[in-house]
Amino acid sequence: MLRTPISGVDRRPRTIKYSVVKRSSTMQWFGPLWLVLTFVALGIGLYEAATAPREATMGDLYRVFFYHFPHTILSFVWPYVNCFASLAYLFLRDRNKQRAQAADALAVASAEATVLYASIGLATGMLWGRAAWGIWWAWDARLTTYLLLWLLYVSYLIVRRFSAGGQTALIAAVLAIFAAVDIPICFESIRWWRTQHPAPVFGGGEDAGIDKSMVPAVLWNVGAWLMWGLLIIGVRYVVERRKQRFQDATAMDFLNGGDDTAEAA
Amino acid sequence: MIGFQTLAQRHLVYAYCAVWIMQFGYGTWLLLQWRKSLRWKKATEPEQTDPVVPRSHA
Repeated sequence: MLRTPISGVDRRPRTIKYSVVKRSSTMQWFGPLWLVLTFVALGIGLYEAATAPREATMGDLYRVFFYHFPHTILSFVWPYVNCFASLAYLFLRDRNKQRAQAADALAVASAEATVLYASIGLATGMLWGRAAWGIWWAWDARLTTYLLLWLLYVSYLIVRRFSAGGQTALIAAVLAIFAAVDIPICFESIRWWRTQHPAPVFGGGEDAGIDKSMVPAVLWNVGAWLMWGLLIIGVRYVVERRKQRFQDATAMDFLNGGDDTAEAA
Repeated sequence: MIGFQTLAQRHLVYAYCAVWIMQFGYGTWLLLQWRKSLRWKKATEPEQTDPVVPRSHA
């Protein structure tokens, strides 16, 4: 049935543009605030490390500890994030694709943080060892298991980068669970086997520990590098999620016979 | 002030430089990836057209 146009009605198409992920106002200020607080903590950590009193045996060289210890300890934390995210991916992949992809994004972000922190742990340890022991490397229990940890997570990232087909996330998740087995072995290696690497400074018995005047430098640096680690994992997670959505949209466009999404990017 | 004469002093400086270079090198790469991801985000933002269809065309 034909009808006459109704006067006063705007007939132009109305376009509503919205984002899939609605950012709350809290998130808009939380990210920059976290960044600022992290840099403040890193600055205080550097100041505390530089101004802590000299150590009786090693002199200033012991200050490597203030960076070596936080990076090594945190390189034992991020693999567990990677492992739990991988387990979540395996659990969710046939149940909820969106959540499975989110878990996979967290897994890759934490794996990169693991490789970064472990690389710094190795580099600072070798530089410290050369000056303190006179050797760059010793095949003792801690160093060998730590190198193995680093190699496992480098291989994890290589698998993610170069494996073809749609099984990349699945293969990487299984590899992550195997890789996590090395963490407790590496962590406990300096308690189980007494070789070249010193005994634990914290929780290593009555003779272990550091002077009270050195504690603030340790705590500030552990806290600051923890904040930095959470920041880079958070940013990497968001980047990976955007990449996943883009790849999904490109694939859907391809199936629908067009490639508008790829052209738009 | 930390000196640079002895092996121990040099290695202390090298270790601190290694930490900052590696961390902020990765941070810079991440920043570039973030900028790149803004294009992906823009490309995947759905545009929903909700035209007010005049009755004459219904």
